[in-house]
Amino acid sequence: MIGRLRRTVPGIIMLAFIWVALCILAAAFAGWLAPHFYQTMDLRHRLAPPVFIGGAWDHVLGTDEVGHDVFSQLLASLRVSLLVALAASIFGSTLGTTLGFLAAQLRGWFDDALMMLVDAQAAIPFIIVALTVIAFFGNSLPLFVIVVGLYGWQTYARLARGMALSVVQRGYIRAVVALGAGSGRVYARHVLPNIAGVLIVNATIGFPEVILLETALSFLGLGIQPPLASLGTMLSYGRSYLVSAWWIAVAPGIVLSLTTLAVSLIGDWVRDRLDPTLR
Amino acid sequence: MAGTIILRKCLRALLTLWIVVTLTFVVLRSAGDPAIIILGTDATPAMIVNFHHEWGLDQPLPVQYMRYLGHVLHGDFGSSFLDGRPAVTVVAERLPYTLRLAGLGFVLMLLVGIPAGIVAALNRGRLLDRLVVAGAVMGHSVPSFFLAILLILLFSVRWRLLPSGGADAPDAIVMPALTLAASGAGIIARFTRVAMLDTLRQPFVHAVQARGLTWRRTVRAHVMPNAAIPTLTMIGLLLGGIVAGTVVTETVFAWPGIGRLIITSVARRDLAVVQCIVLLVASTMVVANLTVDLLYTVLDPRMRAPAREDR
Repeated sequence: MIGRLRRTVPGIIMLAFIWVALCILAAAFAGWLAPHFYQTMDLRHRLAPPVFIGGAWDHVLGTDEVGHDVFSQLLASLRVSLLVALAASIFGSTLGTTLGFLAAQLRGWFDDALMMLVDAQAAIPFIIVALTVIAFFGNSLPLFVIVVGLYGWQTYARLARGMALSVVQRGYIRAVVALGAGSGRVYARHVLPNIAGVLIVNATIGFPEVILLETALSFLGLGIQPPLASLGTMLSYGRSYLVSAWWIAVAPGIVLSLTTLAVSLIGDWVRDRLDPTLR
Repeated sequence: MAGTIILRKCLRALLTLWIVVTLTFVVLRSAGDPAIIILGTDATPAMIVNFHHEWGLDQPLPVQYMRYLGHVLHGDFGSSFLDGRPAVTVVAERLPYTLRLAGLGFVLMLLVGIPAGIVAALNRGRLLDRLVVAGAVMGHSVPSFFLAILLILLFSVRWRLLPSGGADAPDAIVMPALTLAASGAGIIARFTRVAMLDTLRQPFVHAVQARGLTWRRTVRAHVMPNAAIPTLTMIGLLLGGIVAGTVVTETVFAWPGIGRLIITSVARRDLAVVQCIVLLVASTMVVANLTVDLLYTVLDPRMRAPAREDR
């Protein structure tokens, strides 16, 4: 079993899977794994360096200006970043797929209007839309998740519409319709399972972009607000201490980079495995 | 035939712009009262009424919308709520900075990305290819704000070679331009590589070789032009990435361009300036995509035929 796995999965992809698994575990058990509560201030050990450049094991990755343990903060931030990206991806894929199915079923003006919206969204960098909407409607966690989720809905809509249009023509769908199934049932029970693979691959490939959008907005101060912390807010905070405590910014930066790298490697690999023509 | 296609594409571009204008208006106007932000919460009701009247905010929304469209068509984007200067002037002041930065970043991206992709494709499977692919994936995965921080840490804090921000010193543009170019260069390199590999696989390459052309000449005269077509589309799409990148990059490096202006304007709810920037960005991107589309018809004669069957 393990031998077969080794032959079919390249080493680098294995490493990527291991890293992602570690991140998910770390995020899931953040509160339990963290040596300190992430908001506990240890004022006697402020700006302590990480252990590998002469720090103490008590604060493995050092501490910040007010003595927060960087490792514990990293775990808490990772958890928020992953949760937000996950919730946003689910929202975006559900919305996009539903709209794509509606367009495929209704055609006519709805289809035209949706495709026009897709064009319009492509005409402007999404980060500008996102920060405008967040700044004007006020920042709250649900709104933030929705805005981040709206990123990429159009790829799901286009995929779902295109594939639904071709799947609906097939014999077994016609058979189900002839047996009297309603459109809702046809799409939910027969079309969706058929195209789910492609949608999941699309979600995997889009996931790093979603994490990057969330962290970029948080970095700019328009995302996650205190007391919650995301990898982006941690980087933004650490930016002020580059001279005295570079590890505050570098730790979340490395975790973020490795995570996006690992997920995009996995996404590319799965896509190539499932359907080489998708490239 | 080509005329109608071009006309249709232009009309579609205009339609897209109109949708963007309308959506911007809807979002900005339905999102709360700018009077309270500008005047502060201490403002008396009389002051607020006065403010509304002065900026035309007391009219019903459809009236405001028609007025706004009329103004936009006449090149009048309204005035900044903050100091009353025309929004166009506020944006125009910052524009040269962004053009300089984005221009340099764009050139850098192409100069690094395209040769890297070509070299990787021609050395497929060898060490050089792997290095390029690995570098490209890294360039795309490391977020721009972290790359910026790493650059500052090394070049400003540690080695004291480059200024960490601002636009006063002549070498201040180096790090922002590098940051801006990195992600796009990675994408371009990967894309060029795949386009080259796809072209190298085509039968005509063997045909040309069989006729006795040197490998060098085959690549230059036959493979590269054909691989250029898909790469060109990608470059058009990456322009949006550059524009989005300026927002983060300019903020980190305190570069006084449009990207930083939109962050400050959004924070102060300076509607006119935000609208002006959004329109500027949208029209740049629409024009860029239109140009790529039209270039496509020039480069690839097949695109000139009506492409209805494809749909």
